[in-house]
Amino acid sequence: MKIIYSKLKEFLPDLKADAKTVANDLTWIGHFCDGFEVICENPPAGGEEIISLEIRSNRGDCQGYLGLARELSILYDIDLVIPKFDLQFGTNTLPIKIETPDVKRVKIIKLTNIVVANGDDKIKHFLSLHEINSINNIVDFTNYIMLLYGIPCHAFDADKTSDYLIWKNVSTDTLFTTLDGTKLTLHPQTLTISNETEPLCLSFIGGKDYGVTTNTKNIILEMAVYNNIRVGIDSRKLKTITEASIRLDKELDTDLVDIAFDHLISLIDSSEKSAMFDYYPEPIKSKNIVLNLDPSNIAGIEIPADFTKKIISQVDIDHRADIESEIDLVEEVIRFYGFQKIPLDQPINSEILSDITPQILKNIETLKSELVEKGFSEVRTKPLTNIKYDNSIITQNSINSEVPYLRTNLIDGLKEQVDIYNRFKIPLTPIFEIGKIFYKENDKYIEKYSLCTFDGEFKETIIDDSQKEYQKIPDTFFNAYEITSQIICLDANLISDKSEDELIEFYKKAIGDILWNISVIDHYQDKYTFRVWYFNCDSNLAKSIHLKVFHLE
Amino acid sequence: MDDYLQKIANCTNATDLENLRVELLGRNGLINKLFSEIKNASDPKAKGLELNEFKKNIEIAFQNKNTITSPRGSGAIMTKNSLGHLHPITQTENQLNELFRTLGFSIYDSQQIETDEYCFERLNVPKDHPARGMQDSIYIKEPEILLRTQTSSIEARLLAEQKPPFKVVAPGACFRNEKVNKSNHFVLHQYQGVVVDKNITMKDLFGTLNLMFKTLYGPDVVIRFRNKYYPEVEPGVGPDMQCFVCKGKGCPTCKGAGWIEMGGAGMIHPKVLKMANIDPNQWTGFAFGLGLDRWTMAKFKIKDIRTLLGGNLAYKPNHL
Repeated sequence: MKIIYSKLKEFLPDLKADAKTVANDLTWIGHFCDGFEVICENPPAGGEEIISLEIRSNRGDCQGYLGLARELSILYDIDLVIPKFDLQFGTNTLPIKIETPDVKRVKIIKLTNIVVANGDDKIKHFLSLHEINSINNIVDFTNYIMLLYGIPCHAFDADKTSDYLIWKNVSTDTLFTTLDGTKLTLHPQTLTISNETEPLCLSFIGGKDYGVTTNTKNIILEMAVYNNIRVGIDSRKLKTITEASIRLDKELDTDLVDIAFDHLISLIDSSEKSAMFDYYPEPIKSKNIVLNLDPSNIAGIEIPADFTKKIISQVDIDHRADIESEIDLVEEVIRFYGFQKIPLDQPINSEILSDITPQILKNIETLKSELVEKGFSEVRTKPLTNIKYDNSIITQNSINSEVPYLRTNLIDGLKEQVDIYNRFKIPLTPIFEIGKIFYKENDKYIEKYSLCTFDGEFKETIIDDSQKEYQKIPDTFFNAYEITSQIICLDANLISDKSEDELIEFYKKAIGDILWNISVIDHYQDKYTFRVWYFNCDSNLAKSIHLKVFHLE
Repeated sequence: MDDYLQKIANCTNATDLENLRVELLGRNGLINKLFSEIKNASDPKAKGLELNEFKKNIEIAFQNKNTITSPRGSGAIMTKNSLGHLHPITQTENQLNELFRTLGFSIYDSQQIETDEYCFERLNVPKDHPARGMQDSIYIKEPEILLRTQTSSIEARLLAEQKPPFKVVAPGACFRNEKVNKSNHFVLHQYQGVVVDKNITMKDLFGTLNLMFKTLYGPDVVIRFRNKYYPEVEPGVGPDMQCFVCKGKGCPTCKGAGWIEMGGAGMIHPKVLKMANIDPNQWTGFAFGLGLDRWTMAKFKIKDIRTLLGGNLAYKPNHL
């Protein structure tokens, strides 16, 4: 989420910290700054500082400027200024029906004789910094309010929809066209705002034919908070993500609708307003959480009691969906006190508690040790395969549908690995894999550790947990490489009075990084035949280096 | 020729193989002898081509056989005393295991086919968490049986199976419903750490992870711990490492942030302890999880994640 520093200051007039400091401090308290930019459109008049934040998924209250400003007001102990509006509403009631349990709160009003025009320049600029296109003044206002408060809202052309709006879940597959013309098939239970015949709008995206245009005279405005799980499911199933769905799939603050909706209405001139429709079946109740734990005992550093008391008094726990228990309050105290105050140089004491390492893991270490000592190298192959056996376990939904089965053995994977080595013309060496295999037995899912080796023939055996003595794995060389092309093998004859070892050492240095292996395949008196393997290079490069190094040009 | 190929294939030790090589390919061997007799053949050119083909096949047979049995590594590989290699992921796991063993930790693992209870429920993952969706998890029998999505499920098993106090690390493979390409794989390797004891604090967690990162990346590495949300821990922590390229200034490697996210950690949520019948008034603990794939790829200069599993990963002979 992007935050314009200058706009943030409107909620925090006493904010002294500069934009970079704010970005850094927000990161410490849980809102990770993953980008910072300064847009300077009219130099030297100055530009806008934009902080890009990753908001925690459990902080529905921080999906807009106000929530983040509230966080900073606690952190810096400065006043938070929330705008107030004194609005008068009419008496005409709207015939709205709520037929779904997925609406936590919705406020609706009809405004008559409004003027649709180009968006206000300041708001257009603000939206553009958030990469939102201006549509017209009305739509721009709804987007502006969503960014400020984090609560999405929507405007209908009242003459197209009629006043009979119904919030309901569709019962069968239903066709729907979004405002940008995308055709969707709504699955049963999708939450919609409908008229008596069809869906007009989804919880997180408007419909094609009911939006506000330059011809619109009368509008219905709505602002709602829904069951976030419902919105998340709808958005994922329809593969449609919008600024609204990103917010509505979090647990938003239902009380915030009052101020945000009033602010929206205050921006739009109209000759007449209907009565306010307010559906709020379960208003937020006061939470009774008492902090008995001392946050110092969790942090491991001394946190003054008066600091703890101050933070607890400032945090509005009733409107924070993420605060459910005492430990959540502890986190509030520690994060505002500062994670950065906890020292980094005192690791846990090295007291050895009783060793609960399962015997089979010790056996695996021993086996690996023995195999490496015998010259075997370890490979790891994919646990999913396209090879099916009678007892194979099949995955239900893997998007890698070409490998739907869990492997029942390691041999198949190791054979594939040998094929890859042959394809790259890599000289074969003994290899092994130790990994899990899976199968079904009497409707039960079984998994076991298995060992497979290849030293000219493939052998596989299940590893059991019988007692074996632990042996330390010897250190091995870091000689693992990603191969990107075939190994190229070239021979060279030469005459030299130097020893085989001296020559190999010389040519290793001369050939450099593309040398895979070099060995003497024939030696008679002072005549040598070398075989050299080159890797991750094309044959022309290998040949040219080979000719130069061995003076064969 | 088939007889000779069979003889090569039947060789069971390197000495016999070497003797056979000399018999066939040596200076006074059979093939040189046959070449010297070409001039007496009725069609020397055809005989020459035939002999060349014969020699090539014999050489290939020796080459393949040598790679497995040669005592001097003529085909590439092993000398009598040469060591094989551990997989890069295993080497990374071992390096971490070694450190944590010195701090008194045990090693642990659990099943990869998991239940919703141990993968999510006991880790306080909300019902609406995206990880529970079909898009992110690979199910065997939705919604109850799936392939573990994180090594935190090892933590859930550990808490249920063992009585505190304990200190445990658990390397393991996990599964995500990701399309396989150069950067993503349905298998990822993670490293979980769990400590439950009396009076465990965030200071213990920060100090331990800081020591671990300094062991892995060197003493000059700069680590920070910021607040982050994970359902199974509270307070939750995100350890970041200062970008090694730009030193915190912001660059393409760190996507401008100046820091690189290294995993997740935090104090084990009292709810998670309670679900395992561990009294949170008596015991506290910390947990952390790190991804091993990216770190291993960087260390071994591997650019394609597929290389790590059944891919084109190969080992140079030890002496090079």
